[in-house]
Amino acid sequence: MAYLIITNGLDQGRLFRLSAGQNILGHDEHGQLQVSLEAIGRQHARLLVSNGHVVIEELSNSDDTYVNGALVQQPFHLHHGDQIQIAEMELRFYSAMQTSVSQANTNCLEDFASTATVATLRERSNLLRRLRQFFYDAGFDEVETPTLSADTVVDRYLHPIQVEIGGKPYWLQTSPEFGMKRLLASGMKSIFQVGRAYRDEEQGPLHNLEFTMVEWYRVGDTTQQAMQFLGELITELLAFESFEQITYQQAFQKLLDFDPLEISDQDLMHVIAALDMRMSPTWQSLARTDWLDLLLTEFIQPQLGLQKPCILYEYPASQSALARIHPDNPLVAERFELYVHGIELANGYHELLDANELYERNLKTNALRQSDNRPVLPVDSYLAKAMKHGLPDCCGVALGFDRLAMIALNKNSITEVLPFPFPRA
Amino acid sequence: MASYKTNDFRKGLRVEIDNEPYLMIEMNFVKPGKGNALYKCKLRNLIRGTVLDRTYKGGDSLEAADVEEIDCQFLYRQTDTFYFMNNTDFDQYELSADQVGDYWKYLKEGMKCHAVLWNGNPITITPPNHVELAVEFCEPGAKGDTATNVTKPVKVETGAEIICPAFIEMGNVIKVDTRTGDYVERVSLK
Repeated sequence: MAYLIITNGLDQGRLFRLSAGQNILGHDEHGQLQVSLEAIGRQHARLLVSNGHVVIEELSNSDDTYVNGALVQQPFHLHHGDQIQIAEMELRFYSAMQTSVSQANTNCLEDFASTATVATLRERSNLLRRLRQFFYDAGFDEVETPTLSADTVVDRYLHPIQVEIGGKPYWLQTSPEFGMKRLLASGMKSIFQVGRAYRDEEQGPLHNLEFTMVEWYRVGDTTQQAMQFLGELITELLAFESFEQITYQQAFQKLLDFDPLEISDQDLMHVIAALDMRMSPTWQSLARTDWLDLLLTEFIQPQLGLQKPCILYEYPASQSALARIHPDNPLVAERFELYVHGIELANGYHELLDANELYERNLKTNALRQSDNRPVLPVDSYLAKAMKHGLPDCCGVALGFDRLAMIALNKNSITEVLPFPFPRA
Repeated sequence: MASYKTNDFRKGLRVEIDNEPYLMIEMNFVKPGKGNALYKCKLRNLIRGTVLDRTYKGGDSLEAADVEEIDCQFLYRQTDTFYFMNNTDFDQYELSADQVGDYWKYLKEGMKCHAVLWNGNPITITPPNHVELAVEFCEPGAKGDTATNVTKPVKVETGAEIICPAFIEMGNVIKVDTRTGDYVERVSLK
């Protein structure tokens, strides 16, 4: 029996048996060979099987079906081992099922393999080397802090994975922030880390439950200096000429025509009602800050960093997380984010130093988590102790390395730059 | 009733929204680093076939729809009511002409069909992808006209009209693709 195996991307390792007669390949759920890739048409190609011969034919008229690199312009007779490419999907054709492969095994055939190609993984390694070199050249020390800790960041929308050890709760870190700030309080000045971070429930083309985060801190930096450093790093690694900076307020004024800091709740509701957002009804119970966040995600972010990397800064004080409030403008926090091609790549703060304020923010966040039916997280931590002892004035930035690699290597999904995404971990 | 949390959302889920069953046909996960997760879904109404775009936020949930797919056979038609039988438990179902839609054209007595049940009641019936139907009436084709690009309507045993090549004659059995309504090939002459 003849079959096809997808050899790259999302469905890699999936096997389709070809049955006698017509087999339609596409993302149509009624087709015999249904694929998830949206770029593939509903009925994209047809494979006709008769008397042991298999003929492929393109149905979509999109001229993007190739066999062994040659465009399929008319029905083409397939041979064992032929490489088929349809849009961005690659498949390999096998004329007969190998007898050594048992029936039960065929569905997971090849799922041991990396979803990223060997060439991609080598380019990723090269990017990582260049990134490390950039930090070394700027005088940073590379550090390593625990990924499994008794502390965890208390955030309403981050869900750390809890592990019990010796009857005591520990958390896989959602970022290395706490450990790295403890190092600053212990006397280090310029530090960076390339490490793994874990966020439960995050899985998609731009998310993997376990991912690689690059995080750095430099004592004495102003927000402007930290943004400048981030901009230089990104232009260097992604080979841009320059980067731009725009405030959160300017971005809303430019793209949505209102001032996010001054607009009344009522007017904000009107703006939202006028945009056809197709939200589930539960949204109406949310707070102003969530609505702003939603507008940012849906309407502003996709427009950022299209020509060159864009740093958005001065987020509303309500979205400060662990950033300090701007000393001259209590409406905004000294927080910034980097976007490239509409994708969020990095988040930075002029760090909050006040242990009491951290404690209060944690209490408030926990109250919100409780109302969301989420477990309460510890408000006291080694970090709180470090801050009481004295955390030096500093800025810190976290950057998602998998997304950086995805953009650098021109890929559409981080599964293409990760060897073993979570479903295959 | 069981429900799905956003974390369970994925393609292929069958859920109930505003008292109607839907199939999740697309799900995209979007999440800002510091904000709530969004689950952008496309949902197909299993009764009407319409598609609904909905964005859910992390923590929302949807009720599971009690939807079951079964094999059944078409028994007979009485004016605007179509009778089917579940092949497993022999339960009988009545469907209106509205529910059957265009598929009446292909339903022959005893034909095996696929049905979707919601809360135990059929909401859609799908005939096999290809059915064979006898031609009851057609205009004669010109002698020797075997080209497939010359077409004519023919009336088949179910009473439906199918567009066929001109060489098809009365008594022929033709194969029809029920998804497109197109003639596929001539199966037999008599």
